[in-house]
Amino acid sequence: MADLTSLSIAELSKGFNNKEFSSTEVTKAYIENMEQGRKYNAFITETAEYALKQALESDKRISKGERLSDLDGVPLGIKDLFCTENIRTTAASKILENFIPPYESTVTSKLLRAGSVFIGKTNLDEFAMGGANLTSYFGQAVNPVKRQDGTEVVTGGSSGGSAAAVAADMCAGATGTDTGGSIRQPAAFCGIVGIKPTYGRCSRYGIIAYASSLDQAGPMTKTVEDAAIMLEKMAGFDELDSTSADISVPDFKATLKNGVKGLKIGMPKEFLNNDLNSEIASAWQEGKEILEKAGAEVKEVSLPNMKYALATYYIIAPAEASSNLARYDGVRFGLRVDGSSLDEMYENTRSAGFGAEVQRRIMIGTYVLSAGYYDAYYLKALNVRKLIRQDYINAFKEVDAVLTPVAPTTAFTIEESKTFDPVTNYLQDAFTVPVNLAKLPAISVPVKKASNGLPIGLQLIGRDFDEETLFKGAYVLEQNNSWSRK
Amino acid sequence: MSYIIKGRTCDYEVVIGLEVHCQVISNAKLFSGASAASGGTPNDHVAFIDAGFPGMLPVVNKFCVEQAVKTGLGLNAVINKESVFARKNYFYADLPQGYQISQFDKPIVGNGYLEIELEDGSTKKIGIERLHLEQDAGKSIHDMLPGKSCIDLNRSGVALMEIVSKPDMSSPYEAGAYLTKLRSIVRYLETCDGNMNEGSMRCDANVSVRPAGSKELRTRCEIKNVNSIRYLMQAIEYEANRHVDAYDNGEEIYQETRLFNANKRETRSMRGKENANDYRYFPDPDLAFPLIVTDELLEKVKKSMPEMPEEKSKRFMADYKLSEDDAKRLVSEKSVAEYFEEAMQEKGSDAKKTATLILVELAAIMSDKQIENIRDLKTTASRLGRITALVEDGTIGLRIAKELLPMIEETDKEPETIIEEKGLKQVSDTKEIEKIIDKIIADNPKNVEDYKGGKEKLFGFFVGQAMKATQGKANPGIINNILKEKLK
Amino acid sequence: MDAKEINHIARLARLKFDESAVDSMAKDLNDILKWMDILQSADTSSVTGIEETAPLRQREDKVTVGSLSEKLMKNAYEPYEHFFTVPKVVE
Repeated sequence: MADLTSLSIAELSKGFNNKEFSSTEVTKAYIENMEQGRKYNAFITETAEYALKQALESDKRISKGERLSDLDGVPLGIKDLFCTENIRTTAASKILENFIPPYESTVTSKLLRAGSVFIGKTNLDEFAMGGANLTSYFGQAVNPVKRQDGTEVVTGGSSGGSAAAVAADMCAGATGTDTGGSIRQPAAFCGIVGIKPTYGRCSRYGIIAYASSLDQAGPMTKTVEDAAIMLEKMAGFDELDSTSADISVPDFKATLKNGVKGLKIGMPKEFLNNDLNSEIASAWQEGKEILEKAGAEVKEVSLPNMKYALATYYIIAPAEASSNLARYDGVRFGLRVDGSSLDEMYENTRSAGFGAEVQRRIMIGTYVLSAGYYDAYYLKALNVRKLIRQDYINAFKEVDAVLTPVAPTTAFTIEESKTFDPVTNYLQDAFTVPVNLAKLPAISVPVKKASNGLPIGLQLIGRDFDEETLFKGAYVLEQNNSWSRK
Repeated sequence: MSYIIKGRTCDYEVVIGLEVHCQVISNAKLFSGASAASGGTPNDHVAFIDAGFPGMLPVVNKFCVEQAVKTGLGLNAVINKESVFARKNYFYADLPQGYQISQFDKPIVGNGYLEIELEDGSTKKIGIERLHLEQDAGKSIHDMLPGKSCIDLNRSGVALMEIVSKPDMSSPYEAGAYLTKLRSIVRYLETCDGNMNEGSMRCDANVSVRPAGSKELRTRCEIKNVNSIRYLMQAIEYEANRHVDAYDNGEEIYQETRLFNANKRETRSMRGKENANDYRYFPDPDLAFPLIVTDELLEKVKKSMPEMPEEKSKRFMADYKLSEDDAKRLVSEKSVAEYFEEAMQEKGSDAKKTATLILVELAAIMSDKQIENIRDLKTTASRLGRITALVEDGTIGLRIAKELLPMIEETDKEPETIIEEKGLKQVSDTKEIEKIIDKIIADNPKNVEDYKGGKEKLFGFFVGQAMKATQGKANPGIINNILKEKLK
Repeated sequence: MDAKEINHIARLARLKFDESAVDSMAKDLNDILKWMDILQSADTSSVTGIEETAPLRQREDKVTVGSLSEKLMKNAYEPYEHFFTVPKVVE
């Protein structure tokens, strides 16, 4: 039998239907990989026992011919930002080290209802704040893909554990969340597929909040088709989330292979003019050619306000985070470091419970909202955010999707990252944050191997709730590129 | 007429604005499906979001929005078609999210007013600045454990309406009248039960003083949680005099929050708690869309508006021929007005007598027994209506009617039963009364002589004797007629 | 931002830093804020009104959750009977 863990979700589903193997067999194989792959530190909590129990249930359904969906019996990793009932959920923070949620997030309950099997909770940057999975209280995740010379590199982040787990065949797919690139950038760094859907497509209920107006859940998978299968089950209207969109979820898989003939694709000239890394630029060019060859029309578009996106993001996200993280106060859940007064207890708990980057962002966010600075920073950022969204709306009058790189470089090493100051770190997100600010969907697909052996990803950005076009384009890129996972 | 505090250097007038928090009457909380009912086991009416659990999200309660709109209409106020929920950020033990969801620069209700009656019977309009919706906090209990405070979140997330007045009041009396009127309005609208002693209506007062006649606004102090109308008036009086004393002594008044101590009848500074508060309001991204009051909703709420006190008192005057004074007093409490109208449903009942018995006799009983709600009396509206009907048809006299009320309170028996048991029926048998009067005339020859000689005041003496002899049961009309005849 | 301002913001956020941490935080924040200055050159004069136009969704006034107190208390630090506890608050 072929290595079960190398199969895609679509292949697993076919195999289950044809009774070629059972969910228990597949789950056991993945558990073995998970245990073998502990060096990648991709999981904060392994849930092998729980997974085997679910797999057994799934096998019962399969034998009765009552499979619930393409995901029934499929082992998934769950980013440890999704609350899972009775399973420890930490947000990779010391402050939630022992938090056991008494409830299930909407996205994970949908995945459970689809029959999928949860193999473990994956590592991430603390509270999803970071771009390399280096801020996790549980230690960094390691990229299963190494440089040609054998040097280890970071997974990217914040969904670094999910990306590593999928890339190393420790699960068939994983959930991620993306506030400023946290699905797309680690997907690109680890050579897998990830999509950040339109804001409002997936419910945020039960996902530990970083920046509420930007956070969005999405799948991270081995193939574009798998991403389509998984997103369809994760997405959908939820009355428990006031920002959830009451829009039906299309059958993404059905139109996935329809091709891009006649589609118009834009390339923002502002990024072309950047002093872009030449290998990234050539990968971008290669992507353009693939799409053109498949019948798409590629043209230049202008997004004049992109230069403001990073500063805008690093005001809005910390502002929201400073408020969202006020609830970690040692009273009802999570870490408590006692003190002689209430305020002392708060300060002791929060200073001991949050890591440096989280504290830095809470400080920035508190500052930009504070008296005397609100108008100059926060209000200004809200207004610039509208300009950025307007840029895309204008572009979408001419094109159906926008093609850009995902990250300005390939994955870097920990040593390299130590030379970055906070601002340099934030610059990593230049291509991804504008999409969150505009609330648009974007998919990240690996297209090329850089000369150092690491994958380079491209992203397609679409109109509101037009993930279908993104899947079509990404499928074409995937089928015709020079990148190969193995 | 105006309220002036005589200072050593000049006369001062007082400037008062009130912020009133009204707990909205609703089944569920403002943003969660937990019960909004008070009481119960601690932390039992709490959804995960009310305890600020990770990943939990708010969804606004439609009915609470309607209640705010209704209250706005009752305050003659502008209803804002678009309003926005914002977070007010601060740390406190009973504030689980670390912020309160409130409304800041875009409240649901804008400018309005209500009218109060002054001591001289004239009316004054008091401006309403705004009304906004917000979450209540939980409760901290400090005396249960040594060294620890206990937190109960049952109230956390219950909907409040904060109603902010303009600084239009200039005496403790006016502030008291405003709060009384506001309470009457929310009770009429059934948007808040108005019970201050249970905390479902709470009041903060902003007080400053200035030289009489000037237009300047001096530093104000906020007095927190004054939980009765009487205390509010006392607190304002103390605070205003404190300001006057300070200015007289050349001292400054600092903007601060103060607490009223009801026992000492004074306010004291809440030092320490308020230093450097910066609430960092910003629009709540979990409730990013604007709260829209549609035309349909506005129409629906308008149609559901009950008859308000002013209209009701006019109708009482027209329909029941009541005096303006009686009508106004009856409608000042919705429960009393309803009680009155229910009593009037009884066949043969009389409006004037019913009003008098409510406003004088029952009011005395209630104040005596410290009963807050007229509905808690044993004298139900139906019983009272039947009593006045019995007076009207001559079965009992008015004096007996008044005496019946405390007996009903004591025994909870029907008035007819008590009348029967105690033989209180009015004696209308002319022959029997004649016999009694004959005896009185025979026993008091001197008085008869004097009366006939012109001392007409003595007529009352004879009536009194007759009533006494019949233990008040004789029909006074018949007594009068017979006496007049016999004393000719 | 100087040390005094860092301490003020830290106080608002209920964080505390020792002296050396204050200095490095001040440096980081100043660098970040300087970098954000680019925003001041953005022309936002054309931007108006409330961004979102869809109405906020509203829930029916129904009680949908019952007694959760046991589940609520499970993660709490030293709860007392049905209460959460904190160091004594002096009012």
